[in-house]
Amino acid sequence: MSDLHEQLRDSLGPRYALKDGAARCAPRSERELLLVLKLVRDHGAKLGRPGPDGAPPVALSRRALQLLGPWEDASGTVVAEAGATLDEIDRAAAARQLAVGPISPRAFTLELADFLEGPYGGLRSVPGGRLEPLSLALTAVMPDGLYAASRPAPRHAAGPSLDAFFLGAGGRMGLLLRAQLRLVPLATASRLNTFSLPSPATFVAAVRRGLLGGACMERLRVESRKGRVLMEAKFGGSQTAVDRDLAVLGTQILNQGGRLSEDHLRRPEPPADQPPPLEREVRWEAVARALEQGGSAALYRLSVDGAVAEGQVEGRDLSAEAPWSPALEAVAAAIDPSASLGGPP
Amino acid sequence: MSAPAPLSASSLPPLSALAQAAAAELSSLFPGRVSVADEDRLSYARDMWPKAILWIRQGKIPPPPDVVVWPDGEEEVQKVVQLARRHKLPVIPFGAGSGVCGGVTAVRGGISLDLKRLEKVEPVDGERFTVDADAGVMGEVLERRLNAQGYSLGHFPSSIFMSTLGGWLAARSAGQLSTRYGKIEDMVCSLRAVTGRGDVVQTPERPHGGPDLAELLMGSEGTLCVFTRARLRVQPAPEHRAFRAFRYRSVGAGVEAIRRVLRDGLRPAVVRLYDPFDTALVARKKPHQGGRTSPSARGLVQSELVPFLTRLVAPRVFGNPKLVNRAADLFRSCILILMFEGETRRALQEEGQARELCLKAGGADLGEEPAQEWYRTRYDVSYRMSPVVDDGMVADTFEVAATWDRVLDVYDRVRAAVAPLAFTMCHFSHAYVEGCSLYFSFAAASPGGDRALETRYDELWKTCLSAAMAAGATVSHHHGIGLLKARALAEQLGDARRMVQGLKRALDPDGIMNPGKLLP
Repeated sequence: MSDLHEQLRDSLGPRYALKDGAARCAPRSERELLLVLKLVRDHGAKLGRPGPDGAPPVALSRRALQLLGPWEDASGTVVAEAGATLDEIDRAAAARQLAVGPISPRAFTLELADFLEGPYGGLRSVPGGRLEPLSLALTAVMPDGLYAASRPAPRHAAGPSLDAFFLGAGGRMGLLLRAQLRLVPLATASRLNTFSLPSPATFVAAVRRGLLGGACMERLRVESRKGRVLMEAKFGGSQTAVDRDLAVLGTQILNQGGRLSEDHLRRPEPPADQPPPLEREVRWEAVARALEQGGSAALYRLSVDGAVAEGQVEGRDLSAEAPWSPALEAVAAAIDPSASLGGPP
Repeated sequence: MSAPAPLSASSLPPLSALAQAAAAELSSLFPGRVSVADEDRLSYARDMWPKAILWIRQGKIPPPPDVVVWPDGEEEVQKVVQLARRHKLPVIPFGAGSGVCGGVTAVRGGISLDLKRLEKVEPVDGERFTVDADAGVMGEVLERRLNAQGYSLGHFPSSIFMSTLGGWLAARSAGQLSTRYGKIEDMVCSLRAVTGRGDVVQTPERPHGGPDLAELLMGSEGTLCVFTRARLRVQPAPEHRAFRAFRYRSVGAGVEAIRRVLRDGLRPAVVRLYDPFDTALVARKKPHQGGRTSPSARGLVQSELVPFLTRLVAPRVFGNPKLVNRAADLFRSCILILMFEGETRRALQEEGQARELCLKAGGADLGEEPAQEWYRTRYDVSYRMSPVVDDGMVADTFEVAATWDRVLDVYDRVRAAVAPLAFTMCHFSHAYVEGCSLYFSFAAASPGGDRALETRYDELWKTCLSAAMAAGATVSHHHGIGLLKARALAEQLGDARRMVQGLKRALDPDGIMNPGKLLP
């Protein structure tokens, strides 16, 4: 066993485990996490990568960091530690009549750090067909072991976004410790409506225009049916919000030659007792192509550009990291020259 | 106030041998589009930062660039940056000069890069709701071209007639309708820019791997790159606008009304709550009188507040702002202006639901007219600062953002801190589900002449930034950092400034891009 692994084991005790050729470190506090990073850095190792002497890679779990609070009811925010899952946060928020908001089923199973740092980029839908980070402000530890904390404000003009160094970065420019999250009021009403549209192109046009017009949908399920598109929209929010959203989307569907439908989708709902299926980030053009080929999909985290899809739609696999651009690689190299956090994928 | 010290172009620092060589090389590359004329150097030495006026009155010239270049496209921008890198000369991107924080002042000389010849706007992609536009296009021109095709960007800063797309991106601009459409960063699908390394980067559209590079470039104020082009989200032109105004008995009641409207999921395009003295000035205006001032805009301070106060109190008394602020405290009520736009039915429905919420929050319905009047006069902004300084005063604006739980504390703390130094008023706008922006306008006087006025101005900024940050606000919501707030930004970032410094090392390894700004 290498010096690094011996020291990690001595420092963490049972929270260090060597399994399947990797050392899993599960610090129970920020202090322990900083110690792990220091040891990795001091030994010239790289998180998640095998050591130069063939030592097993060090994997870091932040699952033990899962405190929630303080809650700010006026602003609808909560500070959550990196290891809490979105589902846990959502359940705790519900007790305060708040919710995480429109993200996808698989995202709910993720730990906060994985949702924010991983391929989901911490994004969720907001009115107007836009995407916005779930986090309002972040606290992270930088490669040198110092803290970086952004200021909680809804928007700023204070230079480049500090949060953007961490969101979607896979922990390679800093490791998230906690985040202040933007929560939405808990939905008090929901509604399902099914529509039939003449073609995939008219379906996409109606949804895009509906989103731009302010409609918010928690989910769409779509499939081809006899050359038309059958779409089931799920709305959630206050009763007035649900009515408003239905009116906006309905108007756009009528404008595109669509109509309400009493048909039922063939695509089954995913079983609740199994892990949610694989999700992809897709563009609307890919959804239209899938429908033209007779495919079907469930669509979440809707924006004017695309959605998170479960089903037969081509897109970016959200369970795997994608390569970075050369410019981003250069930024990562400047921030973490020794690549102690693993370096770009 | 004494007459300003004489200023002539001959007072400009001479060009170094290095700058002369660079200018000669640039002239051979871009004949007729390079200038070392003193008049041009002087013109590009400053933006609308009031402090520059104070300098000029004292005979101090804001540091000018050595050369001004007007490139014709991205390739030429790249050539200029590569040449500058070879000569180790600074590059200062220049849009239309509407910034208010000294972001274009050439503290180390160098090349001022005027981007206004990059003005191409492609036809709108009506399926994806996007438009590709060059960074040098003026805001109002871009909007007019979109309108001609039945679309709108939804971005309406007060400076729309004198600001460019590139400037908006560089400073993370916000428009008057931001509550519905977001700030400029919310409208960007992708960007093109020339970095300080002299290479072109194109940020990817979603889905993409890794962090969002566009979010790391926007707000960099020319310190990392020169923006050349952007793909932006556009909106169908609105069918209808619905207006409504309310009166509240206190700032707190008005802020609570806005919070409830936003938390309920309503999305007004315009939200503006004026604090009592700001409201008193708004109310003083009669509709359709041909007034040219939008409330709390920069012009208000100069064209209405100043004459008003000058008539109200003797200049010597005005030098004691505590008195004026105490007088302002006699005013109590606040006006809230809302505007909804979009598809007719939705706009009317939202306006009706907002009205219910606002009435429940204690508001008195003032009807449509005050909001319509604001809309009619929303661009009536004066940029004439010199007459104000001639009266021995200086005026400026200060905008921050905070979450709802901190907004009133920021308001109270900034007003209390600034009270001994300047008269101040505030409006609340750019509202989000989690909070809003606070926009302070202040006017200060000093009996001790221009130098004393500059000292007062510096003290004022230090005080208000410190108070706002202590109360939890961010250092800027949409004016940016420039020279003015660089120290405050460093304080706000703390150790995290290493991240921004790393970004700088990666994209501008020689430190040629707009030195002295953001994080000197």
